[in-house]
Amino acid sequence: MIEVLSTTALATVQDFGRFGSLGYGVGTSGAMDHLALALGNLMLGNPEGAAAIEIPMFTFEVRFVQDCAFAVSGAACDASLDGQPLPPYWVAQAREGQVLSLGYPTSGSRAYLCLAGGVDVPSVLGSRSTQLRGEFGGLHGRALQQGDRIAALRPGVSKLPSDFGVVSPSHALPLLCDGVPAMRVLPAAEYDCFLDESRAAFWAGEWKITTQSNRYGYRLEGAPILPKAPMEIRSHGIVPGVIQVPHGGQPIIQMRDAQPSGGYPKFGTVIEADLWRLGQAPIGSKVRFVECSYAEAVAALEDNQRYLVQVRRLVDLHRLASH
Amino acid sequence: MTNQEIRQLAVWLKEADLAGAHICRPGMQLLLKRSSDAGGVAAAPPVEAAHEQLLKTPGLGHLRLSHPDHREVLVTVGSLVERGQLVAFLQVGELLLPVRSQHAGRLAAVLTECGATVGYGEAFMRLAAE
Repeated sequence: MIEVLSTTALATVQDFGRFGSLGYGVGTSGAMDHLALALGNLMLGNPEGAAAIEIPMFTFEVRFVQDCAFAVSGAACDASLDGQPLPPYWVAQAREGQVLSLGYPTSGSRAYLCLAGGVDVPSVLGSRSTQLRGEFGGLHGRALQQGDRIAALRPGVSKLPSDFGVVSPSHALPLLCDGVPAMRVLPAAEYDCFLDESRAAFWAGEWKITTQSNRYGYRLEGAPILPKAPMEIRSHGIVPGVIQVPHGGQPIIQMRDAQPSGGYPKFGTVIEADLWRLGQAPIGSKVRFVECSYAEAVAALEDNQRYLVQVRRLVDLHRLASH
Repeated sequence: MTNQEIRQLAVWLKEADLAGAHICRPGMQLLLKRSSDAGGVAAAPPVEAAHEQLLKTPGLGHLRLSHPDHREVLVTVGSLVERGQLVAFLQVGELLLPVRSQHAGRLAAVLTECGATVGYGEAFMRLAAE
């Protein structure tokens, strides 16, 4: 059990997401950085998709109401437990009364606080993720507030090793284009309906993540993407990653809290394997896009999976060696 | 039980002036006996001068003096090091294991390059007693 001490904004309980309910108009929600969630859980011996707390604003402070092992993953924030610094992507054992403080990140934008066993909130439609629009899931269907108490499924003193870390995914799976963080994109249905020079500029240019960016979507700023002719499209199903281009040509990328339908023309889709990179791109930073094929998108997902399997194998070996 | 934990136990035995320890756990049994001569068990190698302590690697891997996400080293030469303080990481594949100081003192010298491949028990830092 932990208690939120800081007057925090927008921290939510998230797991991998709520799948299979798009047909009812229920978006997936889920962690903006799936790899960070999986790694934090892996270090604790949790199932990879166990629920954790996603923190987008800092400083964030919690007090441990009882002993509990925890891991901090995601953004490299300035973390400390009772004043003792904690490295990024690290697992530790907290004792009753200790205070965990997460300061402003030096890289990345979202940190994950994972608790032993996972965060204990009711599962709704198969997921513990907070569905902010529908006000269900997570803790009472809302962002965390000062004074909230959140239980772990396996509190106490962990029998597993709880003083080690892993190399962050941005180092293990780097993807840069001319030194700028990049994401791979599949061209989507209306791609061919945009001007050739606009399409070329999309791949060649840098895109700024504007302040109008959150868990619902990222609004980008760059050279306008213009259509060959005005388009009117009926609303249709969309998923996280879809890049829509409204009038004016400044694209919107749907993120994990995206609504399940929309009517703007679709230019492309950030591949599932790279959505975590976007989830960690801070507001105001620049990103690039790299065109990829369906086969490459699938291979990229397999690369992510291989990396997780490799880390899991090493963590298991470390556990054996520590017995 | 790791080599580092056994080493730590040996240090505690010596400090408490105990003759030995016998630890039984499911699947393991550990018997530590201190020899009567001044050197004691594995703990304090005789080559070190009294005013200096060498920090040694707890295992095989790449020794990192800073975290891959940070530019600054964990401890700078000349700074005070407390016992148990994180002074380096031992990187094994994607895993980062903490290397904590077994002694207190002032960091006098770093004996290995960041990222160097090290084995078990290699001296990588020298502390001067305060």
